Amino acid sequence: MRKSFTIAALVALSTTTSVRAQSTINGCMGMPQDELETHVYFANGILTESGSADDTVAYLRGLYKVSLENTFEDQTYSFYSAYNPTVGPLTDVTEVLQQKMMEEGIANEGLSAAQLLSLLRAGLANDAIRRTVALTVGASTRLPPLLTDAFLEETAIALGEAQANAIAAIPNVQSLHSNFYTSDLVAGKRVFVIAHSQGNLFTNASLQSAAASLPNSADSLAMIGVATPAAQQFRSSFYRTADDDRVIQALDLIENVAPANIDNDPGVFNDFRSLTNHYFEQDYMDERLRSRSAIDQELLRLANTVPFPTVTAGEGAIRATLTWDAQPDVDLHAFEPDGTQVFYLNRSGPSGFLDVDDVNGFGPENYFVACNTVRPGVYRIGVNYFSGSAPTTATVSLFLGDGRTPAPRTVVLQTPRGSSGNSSPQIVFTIGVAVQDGQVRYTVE
Amino acid sequence: MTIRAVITIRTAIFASFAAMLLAGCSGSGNGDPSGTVTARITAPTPVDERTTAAISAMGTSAEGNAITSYSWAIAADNDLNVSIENPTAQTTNLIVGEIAATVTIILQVTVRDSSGATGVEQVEVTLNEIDAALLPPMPDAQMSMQSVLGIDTDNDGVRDDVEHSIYGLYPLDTPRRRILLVGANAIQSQIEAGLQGDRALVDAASERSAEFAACGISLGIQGLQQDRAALEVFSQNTPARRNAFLAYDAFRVGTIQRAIDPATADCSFAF
Repeated sequence: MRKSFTIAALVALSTTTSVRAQSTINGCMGMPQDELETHVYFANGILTESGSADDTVAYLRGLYKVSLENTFEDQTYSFYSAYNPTVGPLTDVTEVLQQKMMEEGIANEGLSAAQLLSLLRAGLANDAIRRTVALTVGASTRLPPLLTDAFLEETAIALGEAQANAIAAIPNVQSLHSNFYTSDLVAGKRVFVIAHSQGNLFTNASLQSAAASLPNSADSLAMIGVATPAAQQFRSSFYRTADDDRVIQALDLIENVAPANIDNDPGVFNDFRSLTNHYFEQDYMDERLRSRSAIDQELLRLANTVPFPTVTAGEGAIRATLTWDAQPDVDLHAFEPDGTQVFYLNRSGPSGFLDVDDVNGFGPENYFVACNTVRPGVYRIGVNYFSGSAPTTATVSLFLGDGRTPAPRTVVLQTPRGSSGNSSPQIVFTIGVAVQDGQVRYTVE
Repeated sequence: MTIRAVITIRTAIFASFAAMLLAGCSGSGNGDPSGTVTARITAPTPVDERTTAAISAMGTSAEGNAITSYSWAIAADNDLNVSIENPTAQTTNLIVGEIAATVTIILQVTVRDSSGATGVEQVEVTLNEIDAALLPPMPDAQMSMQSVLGIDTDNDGVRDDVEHSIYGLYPLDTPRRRILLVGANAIQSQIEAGLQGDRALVDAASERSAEFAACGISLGIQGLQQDRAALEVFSQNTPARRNAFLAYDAFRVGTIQRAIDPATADCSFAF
């Protein structure tokens, strides 16, 4: 198993490090060096598990990073997945598959509907599906040959219909990633989101929220929609939906969706696409498809024309950004390894700085530690509900100098505490910093 | 290769080699070959897969004629990944690639002298498949499913039954199997993170998942999503494991995960 360190052990390692190492420390070995940085996000579609989203964003990075940075030599492009929920719709679609398996008499042969769904979603060829199933349940069982081509194709089509119903049934499209986009903007980064399927719905909401929060930087937000089920895109952004995308076609019968706008058919004798024509890589990003060319050109156009926002927040070895939702004022607090508390009354510590303090809106507030001022020890990040009249939800996003972005943490703050809460803010993140073999290591509890 | 197939091939080869010997004695090459040539092979046996072994031949003419050429040949199944680097050199290499099972081949050299007389030698060389022996024992199916995290006797972060399934998927592609083990480790980490409900474990599993994706890019794998799907099917083969994975997935909602530079990803995995 891979080793993991507790914060205590990591800090203990550091105490054996020479004092000289602290003065030469660089806590940002994992961060880009160019000042002009664009964050490109992939917002996943329906039935996409997080691992699949990770694969897609790695694929996009492989496609675009080098070519963009070669074209724009003073710029850096970093790629992330912005993960949208699929659990609820996944359950609904799994039930559809379970029903089909029961109808075919193969529901109790050692393969679950969820496992079959994984194979169908990934676009495996029928022979590969049977081979994988044989390895899972045993080649000598009766199941693999029961997965006939006819059954698998009927099921793939049913899966497409189920996807449309699942998209329509999403109860609450939230702005799940607006805190990240806001954090990017205040740090001077452009935000490009490539959204697929239901990812368009969540992206529209998140970008609208970020634009409302920072209207002066809204022009630095951009979106490319692929197979969109939305009626309208954020700021009328570019999108491509194939006119034979069966999931969007089915959805169009029950919802108001933006019109299809591309003929993506490579030809009746050469159609390598899936049965639904809805999947991101196989049905829109294959280099033989017109949609791919259009998406490539749009990304280049955005890279060429979208302005960079003004930098108002620092970043470095540690950066914590606070946003909240409804009440006047929530404060960001940071405790540094030597015990110094950094907050609105003391905005500068030995290693970090509270450089954005918002008292009228919903954030962001920003605390950062520069690359060369980070110190071994423990940093604690907390929040205090200063003023308001109702419970409020605060979200703290954390960015580390090794390139990692741990999951943001949300706290519901019930009652305002005013200045009396300054001495005991609610701690959200505890970060251990240690130096080992000349490298700065971060551990988050 | 089955024993019957090996015998069939050997029988055919011996017959053809015998015919070649007779043809040689009846006089091929320049002039009227009337000499006696003796050929000898020096070759190791066994030879492991994915290795290169030096082989050499020696020819002697009873009449003292000069030896003018060497010609190597292999009698083996057409699909077997074995070749001779330079089939006309006296000393050359036997190149053994990935093989699915231990097999014995026949290595032959034909030596010709200046009169045109030839001599032939054949030796058997065993090619060893070594990867299956590196797998952990296949656990009992029922025992393997009793706990969510399953059985991992070699403690490498991948369930033993999943290691066997990966081997069955790509028996002839060691680099790809190594990458898939990284992926299986990532999925196992995701299951554990979902089971524990620990955010630090979720973050670590998310990074490992991105690392698997980066490793796939570095190897130039086409269709990594399909491999990941196969790994998920192998790994999430009980409702409890599936539910733990979905719990991990739910933690990922609203988060971002960076794409890792393939040049810095940890793609190592010791068998």
